[in-house]
Amino acid sequence: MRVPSIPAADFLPLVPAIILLVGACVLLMTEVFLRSPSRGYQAPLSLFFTGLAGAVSLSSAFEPARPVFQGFAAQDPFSSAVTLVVCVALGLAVLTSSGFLRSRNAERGEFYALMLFAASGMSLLAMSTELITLFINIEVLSVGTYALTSYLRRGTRPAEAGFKYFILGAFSSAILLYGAALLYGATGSTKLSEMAVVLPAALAAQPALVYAGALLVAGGFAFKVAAVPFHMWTPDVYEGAPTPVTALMSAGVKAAAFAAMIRVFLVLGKGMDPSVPLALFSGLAYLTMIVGNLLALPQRNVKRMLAYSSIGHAGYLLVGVAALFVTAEAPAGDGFRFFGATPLLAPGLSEVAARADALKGLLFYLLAYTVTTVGSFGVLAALERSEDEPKGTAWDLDRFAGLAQRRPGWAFAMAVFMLSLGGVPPTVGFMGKLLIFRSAVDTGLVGLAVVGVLTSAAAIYYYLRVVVAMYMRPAPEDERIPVTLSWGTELALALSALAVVVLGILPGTVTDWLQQASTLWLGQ
Amino acid sequence: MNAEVVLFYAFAVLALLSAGMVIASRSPINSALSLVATFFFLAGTYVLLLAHTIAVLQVLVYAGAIMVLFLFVIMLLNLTETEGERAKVTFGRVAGALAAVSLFALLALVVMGVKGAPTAMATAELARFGTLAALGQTLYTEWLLPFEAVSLLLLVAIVGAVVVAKARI
Amino acid sequence: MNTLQEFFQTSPVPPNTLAQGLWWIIGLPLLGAFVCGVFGKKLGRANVSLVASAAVGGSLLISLLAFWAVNDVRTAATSAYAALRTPYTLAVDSGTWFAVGDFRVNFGLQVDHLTAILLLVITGVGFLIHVYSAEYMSHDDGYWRYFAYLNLFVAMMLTLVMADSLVLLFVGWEGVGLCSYLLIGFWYSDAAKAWAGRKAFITNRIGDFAFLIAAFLLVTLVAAFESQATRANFGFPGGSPTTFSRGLDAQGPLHFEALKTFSRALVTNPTPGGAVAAVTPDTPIATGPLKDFTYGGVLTAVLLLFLLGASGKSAQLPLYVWLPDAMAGPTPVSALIHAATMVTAGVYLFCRLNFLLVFSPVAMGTVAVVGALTALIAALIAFAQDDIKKVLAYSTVSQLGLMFMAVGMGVFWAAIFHLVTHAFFKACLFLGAGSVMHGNADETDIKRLGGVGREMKWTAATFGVATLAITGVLPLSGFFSKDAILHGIHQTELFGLPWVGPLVLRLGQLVAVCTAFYMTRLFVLTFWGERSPEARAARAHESGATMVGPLVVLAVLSVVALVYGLNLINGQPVMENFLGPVFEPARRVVSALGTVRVEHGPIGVGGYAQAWALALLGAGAACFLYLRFYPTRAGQQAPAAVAAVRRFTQNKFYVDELYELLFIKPLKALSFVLYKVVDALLIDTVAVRGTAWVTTRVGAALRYVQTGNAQAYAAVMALALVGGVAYVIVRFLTP
Repeated sequence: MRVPSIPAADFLPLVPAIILLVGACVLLMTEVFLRSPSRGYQAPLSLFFTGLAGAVSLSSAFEPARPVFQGFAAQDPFSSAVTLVVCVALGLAVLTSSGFLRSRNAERGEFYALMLFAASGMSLLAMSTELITLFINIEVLSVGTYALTSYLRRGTRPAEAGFKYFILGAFSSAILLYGAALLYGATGSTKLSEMAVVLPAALAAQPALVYAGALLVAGGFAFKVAAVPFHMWTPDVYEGAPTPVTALMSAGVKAAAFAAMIRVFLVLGKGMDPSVPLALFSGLAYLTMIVGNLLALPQRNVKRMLAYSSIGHAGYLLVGVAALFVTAEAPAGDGFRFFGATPLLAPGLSEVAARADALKGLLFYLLAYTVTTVGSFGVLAALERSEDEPKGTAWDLDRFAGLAQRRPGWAFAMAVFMLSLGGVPPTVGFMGKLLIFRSAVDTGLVGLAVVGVLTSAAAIYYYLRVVVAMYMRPAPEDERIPVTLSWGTELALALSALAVVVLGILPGTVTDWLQQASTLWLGQ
Repeated sequence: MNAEVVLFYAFAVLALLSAGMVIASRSPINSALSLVATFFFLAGTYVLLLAHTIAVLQVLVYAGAIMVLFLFVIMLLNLTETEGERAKVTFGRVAGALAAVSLFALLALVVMGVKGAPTAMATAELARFGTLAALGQTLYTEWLLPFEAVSLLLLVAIVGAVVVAKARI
Repeated sequence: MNTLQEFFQTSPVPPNTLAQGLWWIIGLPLLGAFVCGVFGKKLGRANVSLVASAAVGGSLLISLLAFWAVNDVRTAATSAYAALRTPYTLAVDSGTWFAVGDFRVNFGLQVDHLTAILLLVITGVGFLIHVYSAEYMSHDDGYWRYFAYLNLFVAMMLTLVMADSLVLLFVGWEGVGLCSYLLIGFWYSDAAKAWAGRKAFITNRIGDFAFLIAAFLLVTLVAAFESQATRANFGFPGGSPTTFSRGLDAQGPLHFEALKTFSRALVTNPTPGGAVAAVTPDTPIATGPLKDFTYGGVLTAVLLLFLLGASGKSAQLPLYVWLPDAMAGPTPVSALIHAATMVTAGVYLFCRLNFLLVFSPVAMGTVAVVGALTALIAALIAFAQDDIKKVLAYSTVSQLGLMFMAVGMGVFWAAIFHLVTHAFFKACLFLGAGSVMHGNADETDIKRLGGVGREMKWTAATFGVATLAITGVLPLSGFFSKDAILHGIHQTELFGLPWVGPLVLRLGQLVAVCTAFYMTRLFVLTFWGERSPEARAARAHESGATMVGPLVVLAVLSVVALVYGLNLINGQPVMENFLGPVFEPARRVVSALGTVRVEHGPIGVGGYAQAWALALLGAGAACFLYLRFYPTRAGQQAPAAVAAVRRFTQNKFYVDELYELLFIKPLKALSFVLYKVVDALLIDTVAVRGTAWVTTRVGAALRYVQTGNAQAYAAVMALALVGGVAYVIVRFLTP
């Protein structure tokens, strides 16, 4: 039997994940050995490991793509970029956690450790190129977030949310696994690189098996990214989880799941009739954009509103994913037709360039959404009072009333985040939408772009409602700021607001970088 | 119809039946015991697939260790048959059942549509297939990354379980 | 004269050096806004107003230098799109802002004669209003917020006029809208005022949407042109397709130079015996989403969309409704934003895009007619308003209508001239109104004032001068600017639309009479006559020096600005000569296409006399009615017909109610229906469709969608997969 050898260099791409892992273990150990009642060191410690991991992934961002571990994983600019986004999300979430947990007297090493574990799962997921590895890493990040969801057990809500997330997550994992099994049955391999080789033949022989497998795998991913109709857990779980955890879920989990989905379907799409993934993702995008934004409209509970809005944003990201599958030639035969015509690339645009553009848009949108949403959950975390939680009024719109007078800095930051989520210039949210919709138009997905613009216009309504409450409503009588001021929260809000504005006005450097990374990855 | 096929169908039908019992039974202990039975029948199927090691592990680890733990927990918590009204027929349940059944049926249709003959294995390969040695070699060389990822998963699961089970935070 | 000319034509700072410093014009107020907003509470009142005023003052100084520099003969900007140098323009380009695909936008500023004039107006009037505000807002707790917003507004307005591309202009456009919203709703604890802010914001968003679509169309249009045009299109000095493409790669399609080069290339006629130009306004577009439309046709659509955008910001029909309500904000804000600067953004936009506007007589005619109708309707509504600020607000709408008339008829310089004089006298009027309110316990109802002139001499005098100016009495600037508009319209005929000119002219004259009437009424009722018994304060008190000072300066300016209207240089009015280079591209298009016919002729004495007579007629009628006629009939019941007309006018022609009925109610109903339908539909597709059993339980199913029941969630997911797998089977397994 052939015994493959694994060179030491294969471990290099894992370094960010290993750093996060080591950090998690260190934090667990602190609970054992440092039994001081003050745990103020834990957030900076986690931040240190996060920053280290982020720096490492940034430094390897431009290394050429290469498979490692016999094709079970890959080191490429794409995985580095996603790891970086995850680290940004994790860092901001950790910063908001410290004040949040301290005010509830619940700061423990396990919390940060689980966050770091989940993040290392995300980082590994972004580089997995084999279905079983991918599945295991999805489970790593999921199990971490399941536990974090029910970390604070006050009242029934967190336990219920955690359990619900666990059950439904297990269900979606099963679906993903079933899909992977069907794909294995059709191609005889679980490695994406080998599948790519066998796929054309497998498609010719067993089309139904491949397509059904791909569909189930897509269903599994759709659950993780909260795409309609796999979205229904989102509001309940987001609401029940501790707010910093929600922030990490809505940004980091989404980024990693999107990364894995893109990676898998870029391979699966190669042999397929291109109209199938196109129809799949356009359909999901339409549904997700429309339903997510519509359901957010009547929400007065800001946390639930943000949950629905995160569904809507998944829809915009799916537009970018759909744009990845438009080809230059019309598919032969009865290609899927959406609104009468099969989308084609704009003339003069090469397939690789169009995909690199779409990918750049996706990565930028992920980054944009990460800084914005973690920031807005940060404000929410800072504002909520633990005694309101059983009553369910902790996140009511009224809690924001008159915030501009009481905490002008927070109100301003929240206004910036809301405008960015709504896609109003000059914020980063606008640039993200611009990039995504632009590549949708370039690839002929005009219907998606139009629906995207219309739904974002509708979304401005519910985002502005928060701004209006903060700036134009008087503060309620019994109002007081609940949280003892924490440097972490202030720093997180300042950093993310700054990022939202600066990246909104000067996105050039980052987009150039992402363009380079995308071209490097796809152009191989 | 040779013995292998007969055995396969016997194991498959019994596994499905006992899996059905897991959900249908109203007593937690009956459910757990049905699960043990399911694991056994699955192990039988593994044997038919020449995956001896997996079959043994299935019996040792799942049916043996884990299920015994399950039963301990159930008995310690003194869970008895849940009283009260029988499960109501609600819209959600009907839709769920319908969805589950049709999903199963459709997937079965897909799998049954598979054409092609089984591939034969060389005798030398067959001799090594499914042995502990072969499994170990594959697991620690080629499948190193997923193997390590699984150990990470177990660590996270332990920490997570401890956190969830800990006294109120 | 020559020495004077030479003095103005030699900038003390070398133009290239100054160009690098242009950022400071925007940067100083921005810095001020930052300091006031972040440290305002700690700095204290005096320091905040000092910082804010100093920031705008510094900006004013640099603007003065820039104004001086654009007169310098050495000043010229190089165009990236053609081997040309644009004279009298300062430009600075700071490289890529963002690039999406092949669409690029650079960060860059430019100052030409048009921008220079507006810079002076914005920073000058802005500075005076900051000084005025220091006293006006001295009792308000939110003074630091106020000054932060005001500084931010100035920065945004400066961005708007200094932008060298439509994108940066749009940033300013949105920015001023945001500041206006924040300042209208400044006293947000009052629900009505907060609502006024929202009304302004939403109305403006409608316009902004149109603006964005227009900009996108322009991008597509320029891209199509780039692929279709040939050498013959670039048959002007310095023009070539490669240079144009290189420029597009370097600075993007929405740079004003790009649009200018595009407009010039579109009208370049083939030289006799040379190659025929590939693209003219009548050529159909060959590629892209606009395929088969003609260039001229798309341009008309673009301009009409810009008109909708401009009518949002500049309060024209049908989107003017927000401006009168915007008076809820502090009075200096009304003076700066809703009279002098922001609301003129629409006029500026069309003057900036003059070379595009003149392509389409249809668009021009529409602009002119919209302007004329707005001017008339607003003037009529102003007749019966009793709130001093509302009268001024409607008067602003009406005067903006006049500017739109001028723009629409292609008399761009007169529009800018009126913009400048209007900024002076309307700011003076608003600040005067603020002073009256300040001295009369915040009373705004002119019926409850009266006789204020005796106690507030300075305010009355400056208000009087400004009233005469807006009325158009001869030696004041308002006369010259209004007459320049009417005279210009008289001389102009739009190709294919000969009736627009005379119609607009007559409406304009009618507006002049109305303006004279309601302004005189306002002045008479406020400052003359007896004090009303219902007055809140028994005696008015004159405001302090920091409030009166700006009033005097503005009053003087509204007299002195008449210099711009005198035929001093080359037999042309000073303003027309000064703005000549800016509107040269438009002239080039007009002479090539013949879209506008102009008969040049000096304004005769007859014309002056006519204009003066109209002003006196209106003013005289108002004086008679309110000084002689009504006081003698006090207490008598007015005839029913008069009362009805008055009620109709007072209720602003019920336009708000009409909009409520026509748009807001149906929209609410539609969104309600949509919500229900989509919701129901969702369930319908998700659940088992068509079975009678389900239809009877739709109510239960409605709740079922988001009940918190995990089993139901799983069922929905499974159902979605069932659908997908069924599709796969149908498609791939059926023979």
